Amino acid sequence: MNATICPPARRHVSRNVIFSALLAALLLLTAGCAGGPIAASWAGVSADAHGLVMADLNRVVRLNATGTERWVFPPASAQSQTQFYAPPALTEDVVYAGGYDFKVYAIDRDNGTQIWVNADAQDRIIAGPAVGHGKVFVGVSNRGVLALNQQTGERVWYFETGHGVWAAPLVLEDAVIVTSLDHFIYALDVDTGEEIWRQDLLGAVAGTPAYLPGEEGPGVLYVGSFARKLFALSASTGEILRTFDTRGWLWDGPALLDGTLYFGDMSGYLYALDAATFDPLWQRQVAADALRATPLVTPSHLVIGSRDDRVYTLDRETGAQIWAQPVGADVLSPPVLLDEDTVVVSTLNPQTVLIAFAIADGRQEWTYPPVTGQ
Amino acid sequence: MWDIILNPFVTVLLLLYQLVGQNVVLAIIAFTVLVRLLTWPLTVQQQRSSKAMQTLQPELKKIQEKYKGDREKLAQAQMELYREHGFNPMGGCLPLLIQLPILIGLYQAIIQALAATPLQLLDLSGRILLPGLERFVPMQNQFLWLNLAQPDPFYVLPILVLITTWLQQKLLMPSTPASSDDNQAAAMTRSMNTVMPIMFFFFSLSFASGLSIYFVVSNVIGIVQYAMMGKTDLRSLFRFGRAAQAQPAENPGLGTNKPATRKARTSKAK
Repeated sequence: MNATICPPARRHVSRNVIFSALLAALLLLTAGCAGGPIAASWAGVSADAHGLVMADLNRVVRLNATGTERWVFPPASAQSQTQFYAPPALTEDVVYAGGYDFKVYAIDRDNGTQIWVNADAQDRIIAGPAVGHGKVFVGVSNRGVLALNQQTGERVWYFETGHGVWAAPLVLEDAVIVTSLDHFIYALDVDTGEEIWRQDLLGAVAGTPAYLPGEEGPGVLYVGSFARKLFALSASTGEILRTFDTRGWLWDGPALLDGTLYFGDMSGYLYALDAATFDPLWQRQVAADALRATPLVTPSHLVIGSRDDRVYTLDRETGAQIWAQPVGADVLSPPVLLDEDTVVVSTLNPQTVLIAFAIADGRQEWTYPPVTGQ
Repeated sequence: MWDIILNPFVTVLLLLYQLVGQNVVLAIIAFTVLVRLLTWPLTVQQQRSSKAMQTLQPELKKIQEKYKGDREKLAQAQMELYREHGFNPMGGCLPLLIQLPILIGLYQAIIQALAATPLQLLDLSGRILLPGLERFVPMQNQFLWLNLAQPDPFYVLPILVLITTWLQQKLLMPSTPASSDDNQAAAMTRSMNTVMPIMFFFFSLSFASGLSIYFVVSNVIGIVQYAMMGKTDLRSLFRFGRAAQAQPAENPGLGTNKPATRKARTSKAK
């Protein structure tokens, strides 16, 4: 946006005019304003015994176990411009979903109709809601966490953090655990929202902690941060018990099974640690790009998606690769288990947002939206 | 390819953010000033080229008159004139072409470092070139009433963008056509003087307010830079429409309050 006169032209068409117009056009292009909806995040997917609920772009979709649509929210007639990415929280009757329109929706799980909507958030809902103690806990993308009445959607309390909350809260017996991009993990009173403790994790925290209940004493929380460290913290005091250094940022929280923690980092490395000691059972470079999401862990397998457009399945005990399938786009959401034989991954490819694989051999079972002729 | 520009920019922005006490607005200001300083030689070269062109204007007009019907001879004569004066007609445009990716990179770096969406934050993870800067990711996005990753809800910044863009256009651009031949171009310039601020105003309504801060700072720095080079024309602020066309034709270019003085000084020096 500066100005001089363009030399070779007979007419004094200002260079500023050309330069500014060019800059404006490029700004539009680089800002993605050239047309069409632009994804701001990856699909949020949750599973239950009857199928899946997926939040992606402008809809929340309920699918059965074969990938067939049962309902879509909001209905096409609503002509909503809202975007949904937060993994929905599922209860027996209700689906709770947060939108980029600063609203939290309770949706009837059977027919997809709206039960209530809350508009108390001051910014977008990026993190999935969490349900417990008769409340719905929702992180807000610019800062803070809201507790809503589960039945009515009315606000119960709000706790302000120093930056955004981009991970679903973890609801414990007497506290709700919230992580924030402000580097802190907080334990809050479930009824009042008062802070019980907070701990600095040296970098942004964008994952939900894994929780190991204590046999006699307090339980232990496990969570990583962008400071390339995994932390073990006392759930009752927030005291850091152990740390483990990683090669890349840690985004989503670890998976925990049989006393072992499984997590990937943004360099494509995958780790299996003894939760009690943080001794590595195995660790290795699995992918050529980021492993952002929490892996899915079954008694025999570990499934994880990567930004290198592949899904990997490994032997849980040894970390040896069983199969890897290219999916043609980034895989950034945690894989979900549909039944004991089927895993569903979501991709950034709008033509195959969801792909179901046989967990044993990686055979593709179905996609959503369905491929023509499927 | 784009990473060659963007990654160092993101890294420098985060470094500045650390140095100024994690104040994102100060970091954006410092970053814009730094980039403008680095591109200062290009701006100066651009101005020199523009000034040289202004000096050649009378002779160019004579040539244009002389070879009115013969475009080939006109082009030859123009090139001969440029050669005689050691003037490169592309010398003024090249700095602009170099600055363009730098400015786009600066704009993108701000958007990336604010990381308003998960995909932007993910993209940011691979752009930091210095270890230790991860601690400052993502930058704090709250400043006064603003969420810097979102548009300004009270329209203060879009209005400031509108005013400073208009001011810069008015102060730096010639409100006077050099001759009657230039009426069409002058009309275009005048309409762009109106369109550009309005266009950037509308950008600011929908873009992250952190970017609006960059627009405002960049405009102010632009005005200051050109003022330091004696190129701003305060009188043009008060000229509108046809009144502007009553200006004498001897002052064809920018800084129409200055050239006569500068010419006189040059003559004395000779």
